[in-house]
Amino acid sequence: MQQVRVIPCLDVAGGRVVKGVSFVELRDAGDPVALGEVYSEAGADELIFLDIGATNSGREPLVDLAARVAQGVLIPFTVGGGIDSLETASRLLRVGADKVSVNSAAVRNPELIRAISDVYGNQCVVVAIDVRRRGASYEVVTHGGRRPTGIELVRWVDRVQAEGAGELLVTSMDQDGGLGGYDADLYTEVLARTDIPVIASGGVGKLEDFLIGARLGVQGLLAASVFHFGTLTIREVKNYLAHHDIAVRQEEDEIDV
Amino acid sequence: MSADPGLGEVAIVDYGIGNLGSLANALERLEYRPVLVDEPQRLVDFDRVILPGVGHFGACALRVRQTGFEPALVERVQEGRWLLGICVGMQLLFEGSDESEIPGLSLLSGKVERMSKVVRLPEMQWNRLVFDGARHPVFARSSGDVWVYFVHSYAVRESQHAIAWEDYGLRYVAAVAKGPLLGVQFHPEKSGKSGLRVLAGALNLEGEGV
Repeated sequence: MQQVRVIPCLDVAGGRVVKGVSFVELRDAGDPVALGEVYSEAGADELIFLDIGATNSGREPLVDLAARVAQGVLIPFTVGGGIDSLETASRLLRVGADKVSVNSAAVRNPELIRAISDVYGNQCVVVAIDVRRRGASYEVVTHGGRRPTGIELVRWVDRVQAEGAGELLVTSMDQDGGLGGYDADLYTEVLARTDIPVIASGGVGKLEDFLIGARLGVQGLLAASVFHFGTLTIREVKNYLAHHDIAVRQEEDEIDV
Repeated sequence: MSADPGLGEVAIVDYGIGNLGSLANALERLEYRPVLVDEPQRLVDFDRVILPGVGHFGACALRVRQTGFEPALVERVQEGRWLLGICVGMQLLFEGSDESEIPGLSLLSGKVERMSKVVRLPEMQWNRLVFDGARHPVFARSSGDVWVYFVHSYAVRESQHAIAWEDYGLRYVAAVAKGPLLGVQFHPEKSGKSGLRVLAGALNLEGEGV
């Protein structure tokens, strides 16, 4: 059966996990290697590492740091931020990433998706899409939400799926870090438009938000602030979802291997 | 012949496909020593050999032949020695796949099929293993539900050697065993402690020379 993944996200800048509101006003949230290990042990279904400084400063993602995080986790691991070539994607996949997430570079050069997908398979390519609401529709934005693109969300979804995206990570820049809940209209629209898995991101503040997200039918529920700052634990979220008849992975009893 | 590598070493067939780091990492946690092997003639020195695989069946099948590993793997299985295929590595054990015209290694009968689109593909999620009757020794270290991570759009529907299944719209084979020839469709190296238990159970299984 289909189940939903609970996915903590490490937004990394300057070697530290940070979290802000709508990608600005960043607060320090800890060491990425230590946090990755904690989440892997705590029952997270997947871990996403986003080098949020990479695109804006034009430098390569933190390959060494991503490698150290990868070593500490026994769950699927996605790395994104500033990936603009097959070579960079290959380096990350070689040091322990299972998937790479492309965003701004894919908007500039959509063939990048195909280039990575052709070599590693579409299951390796997550396309991250940041959007802002524009009246009744959504516009794709890049560079941490600072740069509008004039591209309408549904058109972009069609394009990236055609290019070989294996999964979509869709973030509402209006909601991000605001703890007001996932944007339901946004995910309803994306889910109706595509048949690949969709991860919802941006705005989770309380247990009910996870449930609302799961009931929309997304395959992944991404959250950062609530986990980093200890508002909720992974276990609390999963127990809550399971209690409301949402299929989630339940851990085996904690016996040692 | 090189020196006896000792019982703790596990060869990972390095034929130029995918991320082998996480598999090596998982083996180290189980206190085995992973060795990436890119020369087919060296496989014979190892009691345990893992055939990984990720991405496209055709690309993997092609690489396994181009790198000269096919005869070494086939011979190994004919001699009744231990081999574990993971994900596309398991699919390669079969005769072929809907994904490609390029044949598999035909070590097991049956074909890999495109999964039903009644659910979203690729399946990229954890799923609960389904067992018919008593659990195979590979899973003996796990009690209760076993959740493991799957990433695939192609799968085997039926095999007389199936030892575990998953339900994803339809029922698919999740693991196979024919003596010491083993295959898992999921990623034990990415499946937390549950995955480590499965990997430990598989590595502990008796094969010729183990």
